[in-house]
Amino acid sequence: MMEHNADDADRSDRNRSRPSSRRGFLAASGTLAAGALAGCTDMLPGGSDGTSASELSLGDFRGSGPLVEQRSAPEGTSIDDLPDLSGELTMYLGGGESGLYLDLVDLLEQIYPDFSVSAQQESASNLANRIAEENRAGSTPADVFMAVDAGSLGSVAEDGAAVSMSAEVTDPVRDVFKDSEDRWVGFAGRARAIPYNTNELSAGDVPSTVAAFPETSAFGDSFGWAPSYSAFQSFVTAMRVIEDDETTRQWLQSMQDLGVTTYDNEFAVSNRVADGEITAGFANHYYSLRVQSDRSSAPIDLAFTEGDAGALVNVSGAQILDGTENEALAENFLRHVLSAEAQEFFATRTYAYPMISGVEPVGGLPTIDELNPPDIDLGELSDLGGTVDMLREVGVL
Amino acid sequence: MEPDIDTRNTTAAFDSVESAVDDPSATVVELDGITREYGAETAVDDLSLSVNDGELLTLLGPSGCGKTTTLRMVAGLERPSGGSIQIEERAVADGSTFRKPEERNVGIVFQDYALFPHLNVAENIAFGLRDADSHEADERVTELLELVDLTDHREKMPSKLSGGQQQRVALARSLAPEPDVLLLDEPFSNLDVRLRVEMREEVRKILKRAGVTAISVTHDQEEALSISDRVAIMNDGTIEQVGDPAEVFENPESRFVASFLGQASFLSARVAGDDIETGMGTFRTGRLNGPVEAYNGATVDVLVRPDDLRAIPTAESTADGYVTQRQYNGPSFVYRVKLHSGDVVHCLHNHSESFEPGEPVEIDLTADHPLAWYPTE
Amino acid sequence: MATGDRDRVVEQTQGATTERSASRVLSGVAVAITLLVLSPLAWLVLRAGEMDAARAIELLTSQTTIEVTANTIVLVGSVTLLSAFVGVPLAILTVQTDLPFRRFWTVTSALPLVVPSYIGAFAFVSAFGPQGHLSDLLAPLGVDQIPAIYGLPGATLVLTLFTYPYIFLTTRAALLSFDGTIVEAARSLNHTRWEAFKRVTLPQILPGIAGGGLLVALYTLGDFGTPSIMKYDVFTRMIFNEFGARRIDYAAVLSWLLLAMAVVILAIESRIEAGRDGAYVSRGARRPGEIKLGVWKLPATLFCGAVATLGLALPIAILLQWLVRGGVGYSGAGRPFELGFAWNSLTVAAAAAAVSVVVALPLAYLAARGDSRISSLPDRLSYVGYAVPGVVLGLALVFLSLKYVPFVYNTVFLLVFAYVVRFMPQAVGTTKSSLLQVDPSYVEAARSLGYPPLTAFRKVVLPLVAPGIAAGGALVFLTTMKELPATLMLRPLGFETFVTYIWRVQESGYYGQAAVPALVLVAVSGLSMLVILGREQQNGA
Repeated sequence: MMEHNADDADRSDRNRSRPSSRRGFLAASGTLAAGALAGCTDMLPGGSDGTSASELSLGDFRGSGPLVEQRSAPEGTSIDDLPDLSGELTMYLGGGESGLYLDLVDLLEQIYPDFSVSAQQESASNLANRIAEENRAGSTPADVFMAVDAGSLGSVAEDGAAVSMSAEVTDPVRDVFKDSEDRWVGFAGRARAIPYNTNELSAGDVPSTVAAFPETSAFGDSFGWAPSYSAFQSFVTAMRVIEDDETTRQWLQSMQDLGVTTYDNEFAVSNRVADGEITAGFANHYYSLRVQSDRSSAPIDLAFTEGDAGALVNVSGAQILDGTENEALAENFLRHVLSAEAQEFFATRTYAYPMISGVEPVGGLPTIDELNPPDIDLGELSDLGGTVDMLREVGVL
Repeated sequence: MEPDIDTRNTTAAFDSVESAVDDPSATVVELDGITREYGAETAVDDLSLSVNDGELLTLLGPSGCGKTTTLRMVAGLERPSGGSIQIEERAVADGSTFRKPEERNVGIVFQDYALFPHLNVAENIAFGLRDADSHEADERVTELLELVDLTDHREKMPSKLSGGQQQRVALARSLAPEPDVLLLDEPFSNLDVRLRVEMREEVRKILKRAGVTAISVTHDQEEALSISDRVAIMNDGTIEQVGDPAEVFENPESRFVASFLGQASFLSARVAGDDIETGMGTFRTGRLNGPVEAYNGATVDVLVRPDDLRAIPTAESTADGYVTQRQYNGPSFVYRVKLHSGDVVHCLHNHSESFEPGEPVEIDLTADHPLAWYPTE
Repeated sequence: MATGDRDRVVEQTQGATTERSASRVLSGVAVAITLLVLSPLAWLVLRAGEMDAARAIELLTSQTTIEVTANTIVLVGSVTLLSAFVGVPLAILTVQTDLPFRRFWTVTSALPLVVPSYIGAFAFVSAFGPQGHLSDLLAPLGVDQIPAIYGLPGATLVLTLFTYPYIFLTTRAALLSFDGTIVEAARSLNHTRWEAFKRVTLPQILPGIAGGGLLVALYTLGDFGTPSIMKYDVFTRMIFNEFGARRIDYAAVLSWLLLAMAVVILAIESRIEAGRDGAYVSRGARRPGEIKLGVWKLPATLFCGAVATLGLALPIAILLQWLVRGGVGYSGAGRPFELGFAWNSLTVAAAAAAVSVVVALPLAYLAARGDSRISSLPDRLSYVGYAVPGVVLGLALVFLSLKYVPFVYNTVFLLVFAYVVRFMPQAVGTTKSSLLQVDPSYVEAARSLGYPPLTAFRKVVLPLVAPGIAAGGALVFLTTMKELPATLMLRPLGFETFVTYIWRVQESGYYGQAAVPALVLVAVSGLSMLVILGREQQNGA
């Protein structure tokens, strides 16, 4: 497939059943899922060596389950149209959740027998620190840094430890999801969202700005968050950038007064919403999709705020590290990561927002265009330290 | 405590076994002016001593006198600060040489035997047989087990043996490589009293049979006097007197040796011509063990042990003093008598003669040997 | 005969200096090992030095730093104290009383050490947290509020439950080598059992308690996971946040403060232990008579049961629950667990244990046999590594190895070295206490029988301390198996272990997938605990 254009995208949009409202997305897909036959056959072939490119189909990249049923083929640059990958890459993978990305690497290694990746996985900020130390001692042995947190990528770029990538790599991605100097590029998006219990609330009950949450009586003593989770901290950081520290502090305080319940992570928040233990909470969007994938009848749906920090879309991204001897291979690899198939992989397996316009988010999620994320440089979200201090001050952490 | 009166006899009885020794007058160990200092403290001070072939010499002294340090210097476990040590006419320690313990061919029997707990009796004994093949080692172990009379205990672990048996294993282990000299550090102190007496004889017998030259260290005079060919009395890092046990006991050359051996008392005596005047009467100077003319008119201290004196009940008016304490030793009593002159003496009596504390007594000097004396300090 | 003994001990201790050259070599080796083990601190010097002095002072004297310091001291103090209150009674019950099923309770009391405290903390929150199983159970009964387990009480409880076995084990060792006759002597002097314990037993076993307490305190000081999950603000968390904000110089300055606290803890323990330095501890002494528990049998059993339930049964139950619950949605996070990961864990942990016992030996020997306070300095200093947070150690070794020995970077050698730096002190401790139980005259006896010092040591001392060395190795092994932060940072590319895998799937929320590796990890580490307890039996015999 050749590069997409706007018309293609529009056409494919029309082929899809899309909820008319920005709210209540999951309910629609849930209905679809109930009607669909279980038993998707697109399972990953279990390590069958020697599988050539022609033997891997789109289904190998796609996830399974009710949320993935009835998707149309992704558009965008296909792997078939990219140069072959050949050689060895060393990659740092930042964030425990990035483990799934290794599955994509496995697929690419299956397609290209001459291609292999040595990966090291750790928390994104530790890897950013590590890259800094490696550079001070000489140079990093890694070629590519993939991280679930744009802030870490931003700080590595600021240290001058990342190279600018060619337009071939970064062009398909819109500006907000990449560095202004192309020193990192997003490949999967994560939207902040408000999972709510559909037995307790309807879409209209969720205010369209987080500023209104403290006054929402439906949330009183029945709202959850996970303030130790980095995505939540990025959201608060975004609020500090968009508004100011004082406003943010007051908002945190009034949320406290509302009687918020603290959880360890946002998967827990989403599960407890589905359980009805709380009516709503703050979480990355994909956790609710995972809850629904586990328990298809769970009374959970997603709402999104508009234009404020609560609607932040953060990305997992990648960069090529300074001093690499494999820059061309690394660029080609990142083009593969941004290929239609790989983007389909992220969309259907991690429920992430694809970064190229030819691939739609899963399960009837709103497109990024339909969302109304705040206008913010994701690289600015690296100051988690100040946010942690504030959370501690207010007594949230 | 009573000296072991059998000392001479025991020694005599074993003289026949000493034929194993080629030349009993040859010197095996020679210490020449050895000194050991720990910082400002001098543990051993310019000590000289020679030990003859086949001889059992005991270093006897109170704790802290430097006897163990001396032994450890012979063993090579301590390095002398000065002086020299020769073993079999070979310098093992002097200003320029220091042979390590493993290069000296000495055997050591430790106070607590130091039997290796992870090895059985035979393995312990064979431990030092480094050059022997297994057959030779086996034979030597058998030989030594016979020597120490433990043939039946060959395979036992040390923890299963009695104290006396452990000591015999320790002895066998140190004798196995045929050392030039055997060192025994307080060898009997971990045994109970009854076993101690038995083992003294046993050990002496074994040493004499083996014909080994030995140096032993103890603070127990009875032990020293009973097993040794010679004793060296040590005090404060130096040797006060060396000699045949009986000779040392009867003629202590120094006040220290005198007071250390036996239950010694000192009787102040004023020398008046041929007489000496004491708190228990006047005696002829001939009772003393040497010319005392030089001290005419002055006071000397005469060594009297309990067996030299007898107390006789008497009236208050004729008494030399009165009994203050009675010490029961089974077959005998030792009475402590406070003389009117202020001296305190001890008298040995058999158990049929009984005095009560406070009873006035007269003291008789019954000793049949010349008495040692020392100028009053 | 006691008169001669003191004299002899003094003379012997001083006599140890005779072999000047040998002892100089030994000291040299010990100093070299100590320097190597402390080398990562050079990195902290560099990074802390990058911070402007005025700014550093401002940071160190800031309100937050002072509060967090106070929090840390309180946590370390309360965990150590509570661990002693749990560990010492359990040790006494299992050694000196007629507690039913003593052997069983000995094992269950030691085993919580094999549970990684982050898994333990997690289990605790799942069970007792505001949304935990307990509140679920109690909700129908009308109990809608259970006491909060977060904060200091929760952090103390969890850390205590998973570290008290250090004190339990060292106290047991002290009790097993303890001469019972002196208790009988005390009781004959009209002391009640309690008085005899207080005035005779306790002072005798105090160095043992302190030895375990040292490990508990240093572990608590350097642990990040548990206080983080239990939401209690301590030093490691502050350091971690600075790393998260990528302010390495801040983190380095704060790390120095943490190490200063470690040194204070070491100094306190040294004072308690001082009386024992250089002395030869008698062994095989008579055991004191068994204490009859009488009516206390049931409460004592319940106590053992309660500790085992919280420290062992609960985390295992939670893991099993993850396993059962781990149906559809709990699978599928990246690559599945492979046996190779387990093999990796086992081999690096075994290598770390082997290297640790070898390098611990000179330090322990010098500390046990040395003649001065200085000779135990290498042993003391080596403990500092135990308190260094894994992240700090990891970054330090990233920089230092790449800079000076680049060929070890991204190899298991560097990883094993990191483990040795962190965990060797545990081997030093057990090796030293074993050496103290070996009569110094064994070596002298062997030498008088013609063996040079090293051969004498190998033939006589080594076989006797082997069980202690094995126990030390087993401790290093099981703590290495649990270690996460340095492992993540320093493992070779693509090198996965039990913990890195558990970390990865847990981070992704796929707890079901973590259950099996976690259970296997606990089981394997549990086996190594048998080595530690096995050594006791040998000593007790």
